[in-house]
Amino acid sequence: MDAHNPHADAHKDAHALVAHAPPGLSWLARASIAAYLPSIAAGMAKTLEWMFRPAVTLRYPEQQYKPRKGYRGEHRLKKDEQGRPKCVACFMCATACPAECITIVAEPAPWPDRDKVPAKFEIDMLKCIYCGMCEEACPCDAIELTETFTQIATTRKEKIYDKERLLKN
Amino acid sequence: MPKIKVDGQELEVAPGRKLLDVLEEHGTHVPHFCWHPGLKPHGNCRMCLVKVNNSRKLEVSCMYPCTDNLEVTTKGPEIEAARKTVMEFLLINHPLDCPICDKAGECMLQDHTYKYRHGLSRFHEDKVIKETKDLGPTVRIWGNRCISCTRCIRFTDDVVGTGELSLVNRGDHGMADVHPDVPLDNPMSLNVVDICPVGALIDKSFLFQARVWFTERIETTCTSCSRGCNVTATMHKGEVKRLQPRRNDDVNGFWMCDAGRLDIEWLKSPARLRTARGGAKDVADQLRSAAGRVGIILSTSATLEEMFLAKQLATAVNGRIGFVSLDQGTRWVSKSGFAIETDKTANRRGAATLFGKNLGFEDVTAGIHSGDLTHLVVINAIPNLAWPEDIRDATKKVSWLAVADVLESDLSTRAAVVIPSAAWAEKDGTIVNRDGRVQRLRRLHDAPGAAVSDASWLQEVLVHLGARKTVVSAEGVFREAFPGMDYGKVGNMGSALPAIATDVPANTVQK
Repeated sequence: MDAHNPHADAHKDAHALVAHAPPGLSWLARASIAAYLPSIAAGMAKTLEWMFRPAVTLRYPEQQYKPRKGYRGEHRLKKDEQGRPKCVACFMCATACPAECITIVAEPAPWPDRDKVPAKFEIDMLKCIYCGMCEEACPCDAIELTETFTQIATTRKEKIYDKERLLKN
Repeated sequence: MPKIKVDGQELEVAPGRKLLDVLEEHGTHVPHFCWHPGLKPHGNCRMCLVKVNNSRKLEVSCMYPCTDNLEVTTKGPEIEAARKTVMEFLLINHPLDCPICDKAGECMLQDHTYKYRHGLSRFHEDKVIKETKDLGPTVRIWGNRCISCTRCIRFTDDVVGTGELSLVNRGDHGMADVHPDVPLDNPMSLNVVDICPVGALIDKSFLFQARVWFTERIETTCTSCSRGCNVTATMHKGEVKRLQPRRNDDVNGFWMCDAGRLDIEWLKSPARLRTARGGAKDVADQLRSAAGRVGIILSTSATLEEMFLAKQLATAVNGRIGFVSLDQGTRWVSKSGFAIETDKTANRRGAATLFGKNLGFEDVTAGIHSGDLTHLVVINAIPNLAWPEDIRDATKKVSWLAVADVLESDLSTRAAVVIPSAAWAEKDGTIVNRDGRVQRLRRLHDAPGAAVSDASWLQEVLVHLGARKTVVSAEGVFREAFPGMDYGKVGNMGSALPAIATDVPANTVQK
C-alpha cells in the first residue's frame, strides 16, 4: 500500500479496532465499525474546527453585501458638467458587447457644441453578462459598471433599462 | 504600345494612360485619396508615390504618363517612409471623431491610417477648427474632416458641369465649400458623399442612421427611371437605409441621380396598401366567368416575370392587355454624359420586347367604353401614379374591378378585389433598361402587411384557372420565359436580353 496515502493509516486503525472489538459481534458489525468509525470521527473534528471559525455567509437581506471595488454590477450612463449625457451614440459599446444587449438609436444633438446624442439607449439586463467590455470600449468615458449588486424586477420588461433609468444609476 | 515593368512584371499599356490607372486595373494596389477612376487626376494628396526608373525622386503615379520601358516599383522602404510622412501630414488637422463620423467603417483615411500610419502624431499645436454646415438640401459638410483632395470639386466641375463647389481658404485652412448664394443643389449632388475619401461630406438622409459595420449590402438595380443604374442597397434592421451607385461602365459609370437614391422613401409610406380584399381565388373565379370580356392594365414598371405571367393570364382568359407608364420632366444630361431619363418606369423596353411597340391602354379602355369588356384587372407598380382620366372613367364603368397596387389610390378604394403589391425592393425579378440590358432586382426586405409580389399572386390565379401547374419563384418564371437563361447568367451587372419563349401557353381555361 502507498505510504503517502492517508487512507493507509485509516486501514491500520480499522484493523486495530477490529482486533480489539468486543467478542460476540458478527463479522458484518466488525466490518462496519472498521469502515465508518474513523471517517465519522474525522468529520466531527472538522465540524468542531469550523464552529470556532468566523462565518462566511451573510444573513441577507438583513445584512447587505458590499461588493469589492471594481465589482461589475448595473450600468450607469454618466453626465457631463452641464448635466447632459456624456454619451455621443458612437455604438462602440454596442459593437464591443458580446451579448448584444445594447440598443442605441442616434439623433443629431440639440446643442451647438455636440454632434450626436442617443435618442434611445437601452440595455437588456437579462442578456447582459456584466463583462465590462462596454466600459472599456467607450471613447468618452460615458458608461460604467456600478457596484450595484441587487436588481429586482417582476417582469422581463422592467429588466430592459432605458436611457433615463441608466442616467439615474 | 508602350511596355512597362511593374515590380518586375511586364505589362503592355495604351499610350498616354496614367500609371495609377494602369496599376489599379492590373491589381497592384497603390494607396491614394484624390485619385478616382471616374474623375480627372489631380495629384494633390501625394499618397500614390511610386519609384520610376527615369526619375531620381518619387513620382505621383496618378499623374505620371506611361511611356515605353518604364520600370515602376510600388514597394520598398523609401516608398513606405514617404507614405507615412504623407499620412502624418494629412492627420495633422484631421479630428479624431471617428466614433461620431458616419464614414467610419468605410473611410479611406481610416483604412490607410491603419495600414500606413506613423504610429503617434508628433504634432503638439492646436488643430485648425473649420465650420460644419449645410452645403445644400441634401449634403452637409464637416469642414474639420476635409483633407482638400478636391474630388467633390472635380466632380461638380467635370462630371455634373454645375461647378458649385470650390476649395476655399489656403493651406491647412482649406476646405471644399459653396458660394454663399449657390447651394450644392444639382440632380447628382449626393455622389459627392460617395466619392469623399473622408467623412467631410455626409448625406443628410443617412446621417446617424446606422453604423456601416452593422449593415448588409445587397446589389440591385434602381427602378426610378428607364436607365436602370446599378446600385448597392445598405440594409439595416430590415430597412433600406440608402442606395449607392455601383460601377457599371455600360449603364451608369460610377454615378446615380439623387431622385433614384431617394426612391426608397415611399417604401415606408403609411399610404402603402397593406391589407387584401379578396384574393387570387376571387380573381380567378371572376375572370373564368367573364372570359373574353377581360381587360388587363399593367404598368411598365412591372418586372419581366410579371409581364410574362400577365401575358399568360391574358391568353388564358382571352383578354386584352394595356399599359400605363409615366413620363416626367425633360431629359437631363450632365456634362460627362450621364443622363436621367424622362421615362420614369423601369421596364418599358421589356414590355416592348414582350408585347410589341404599341404600349397604350386605349385598346382596353375603348373596349370598356364600348361594352366589350366588363372585367378589369389593374396591376400597377408606379408609386403615386396620376391615373389618366380615361382609365379612371373605365374603372367606374366596369362591372368588376381588381387592383393590385403599391400605394392607396381612388382605384383601390373602388375595387372589388384589392391585392397589396410588393414594391421593387420587396421582390425578385428582372427589368430591361432603355438600352435593352436585362438586369436583376433583388428582394431587399419583407413587404408590408399582406403585400405579395405580383409574380406570385398572378401565378396563383393561373393555377386556379388551370393554366399553370404550380407556383414557382420569380427565377422559375424567368427560366420559363427565357429558355436556357437563369439569374446566374444575368449576373450582377446585367446582360443582353435573350430570346423570349414564343410558346406562351394557349387558352387552357376549364369551362
